[in-house]
Amino acid sequence: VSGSGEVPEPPRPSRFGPITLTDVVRYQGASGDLTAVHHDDAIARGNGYPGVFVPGLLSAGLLGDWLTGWLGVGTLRRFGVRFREQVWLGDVLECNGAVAQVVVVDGTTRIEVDLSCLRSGTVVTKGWATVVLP
Amino acid sequence: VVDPAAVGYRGSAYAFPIERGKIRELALAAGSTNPGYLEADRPPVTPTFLKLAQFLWEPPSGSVIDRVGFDPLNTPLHAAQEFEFHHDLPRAGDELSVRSHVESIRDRPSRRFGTVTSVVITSEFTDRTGSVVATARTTSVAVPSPGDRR
Repeated sequence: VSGSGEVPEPPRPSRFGPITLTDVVRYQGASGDLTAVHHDDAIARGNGYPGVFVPGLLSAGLLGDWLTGWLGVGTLRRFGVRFREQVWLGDVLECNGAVAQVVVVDGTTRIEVDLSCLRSGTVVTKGWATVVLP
Repeated sequence: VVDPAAVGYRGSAYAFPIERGKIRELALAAGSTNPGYLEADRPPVTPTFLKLAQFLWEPPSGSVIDRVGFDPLNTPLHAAQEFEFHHDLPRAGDELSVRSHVESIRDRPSRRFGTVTSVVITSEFTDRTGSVVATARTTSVAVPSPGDRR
């Protein structure tokens, strides 16, 4: 084991929203996932929901952007999310995270990060990542 | 209706070119201002980018999703998603090949819906030399029809 293992300070939490239907349509068009419960209110109601809901992967994308804004875009080794709560139009999402563990092996710093995407303090999407710094 | 016998089914391999404009479009849709995605000549993929293979490049016939047999009128929910990158991240200009299989199908109790069926699909991404550069694991949940929920 060698190296400094220095990790930059995390940035301030990011904020996204209030989420509009246009945000959802833009995300769905970009991803190619045209699942209708995310933009068609009648179909969402037919599926038993009060209305359209935001694709979980948009919250994952927000977490990923916050993470890579902090530790770099080319450094990822693992990125995972669990969707805990549905996200609705009008929600404001805040992303942040913290270092869970740092391991330095042969001059390479391997960082385990815990991530949270929150709506008014409630975690809607929980994330975890492994990043390697040269 | 989800078919438990779909476990182990492998879809065909298909090509997945990593495109600069697509990386930019997906980054912008998640509110990114990061020049590493928006301005670089050969940006790396964003953390969730590889999920797009299934939506944009998987041939519709014989796909693993078709084989699982989700109810088309009762959209499954996305429960979890994980990506592992075994080497440096794929970048714009790379040509990957993708092959997916059904890893598991299990019923489990849900506080909100009663009984749900959890389906895990794994996709392997290989580069031109044939080495596996990334693995994606998607957990989807088939929920009962609205009238049959707890």
